Amino acid sequence: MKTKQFYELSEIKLSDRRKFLKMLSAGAATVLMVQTPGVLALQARGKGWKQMSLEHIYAYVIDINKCIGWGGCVRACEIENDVPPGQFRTWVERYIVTNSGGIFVEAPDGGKNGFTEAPKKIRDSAMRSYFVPKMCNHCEDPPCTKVCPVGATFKAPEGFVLVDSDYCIGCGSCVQACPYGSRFINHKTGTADKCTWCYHRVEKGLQPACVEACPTKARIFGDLKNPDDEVSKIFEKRQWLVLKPEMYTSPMCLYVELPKEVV
Amino acid sequence: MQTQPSPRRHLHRLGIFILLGIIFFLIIKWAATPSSWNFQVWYRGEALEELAIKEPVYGGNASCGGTCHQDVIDFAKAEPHRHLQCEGCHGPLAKHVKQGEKIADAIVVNDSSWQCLNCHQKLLGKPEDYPQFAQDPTLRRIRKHKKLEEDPLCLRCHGPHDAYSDPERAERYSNVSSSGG
Repeated sequence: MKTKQFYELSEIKLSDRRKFLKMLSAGAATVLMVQTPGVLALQARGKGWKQMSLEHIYAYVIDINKCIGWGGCVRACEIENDVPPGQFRTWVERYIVTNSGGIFVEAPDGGKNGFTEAPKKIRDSAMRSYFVPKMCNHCEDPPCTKVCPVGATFKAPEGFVLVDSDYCIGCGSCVQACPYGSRFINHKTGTADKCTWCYHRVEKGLQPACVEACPTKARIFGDLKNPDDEVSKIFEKRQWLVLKPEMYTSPMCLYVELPKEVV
Repeated sequence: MQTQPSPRRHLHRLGIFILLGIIFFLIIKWAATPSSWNFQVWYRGEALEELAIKEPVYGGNASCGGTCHQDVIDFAKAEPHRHLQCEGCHGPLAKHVKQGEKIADAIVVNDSSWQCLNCHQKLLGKPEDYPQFAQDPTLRRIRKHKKLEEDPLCLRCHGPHDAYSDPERAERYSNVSSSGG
């Protein structure tokens, strides 16, 4: 890895040589740490979690190769969480990559009612296409909770990023701070709203509504602390990526076989 | 003789004013901070309990079996549709059962061909190993006559629980369709 040096050798006195060498190694270490991608940082931290005293550490796995884009997850989420029409806690996007270099992304009504056939021109030149379910990534290091002026949104124990709607003043700072567009101001309540990983269901021992609705197991929710859990196995053994690792948010939604075009 | 006022009187006044201000601020802060406030993560501890209180709407497939519809679940055990969520077609549990008592019949929300085609119509983006129909003559008919999409056309030959087309289907299916309490 290349390191930039801002000191010119002629400027440094002989007696400072030891100091200079120390600075050189410290600088190289800093650059190495900063340039480690967010994914690696998350994996390194994942090893630390196992020693943490929390009872569960939840994670969510989305398998791109299994999603059929039928939209049942979006419908289930809407009914379970009373999400107003036109707003989405989770949604499904379709990416079509054409051989002319174009990338077409669509999510008609959040993919709630499935997808229709693409226009013939796009269909004929399509190289590959896939569905990408999206939702709140429940980041390990969430930018949205840092901007809240009243402490209404927070990183709860066990990995949930939640909104205290009694305390929320609806200023919308968190909506702007989220790099994934997962937050919105609920039209009904006037407060910030987002995916909670169905906190009320998980606390009762159930799976989130979208995971229950998925017929192909493209969405899996589980506990990283339990080594027999499917999410644990995927975390250890499969190739997975996160969305926007360059934001250093360390998301807890792990995408299996995420194509490079997805943002 | 009158004593001269202290030359630093204005500073004392300012000091008292600032002190009162700080005390006032601390009282307001003490009164406005909830007792369950988490000072490490900076949130109201009670919010977690309030969020967890909400009743689930969907019960999951495990809630359909047991004493109520175990026969349907056993029937579909070896079928390709065994991974499907019961409530995906029959509507959420909360509209059907409340505190162990049946409050309304579980209706099939949508039995049109659209429901089947949503998953099984050949479409750009679906995984290639997933069963999709593009050249089926019935499907071509549905595409030609849009009205057929609203019709439960697929269900004439295929069962929703046992999806393979089977001449004995109707007979087998009638044995379990009367189940449920």
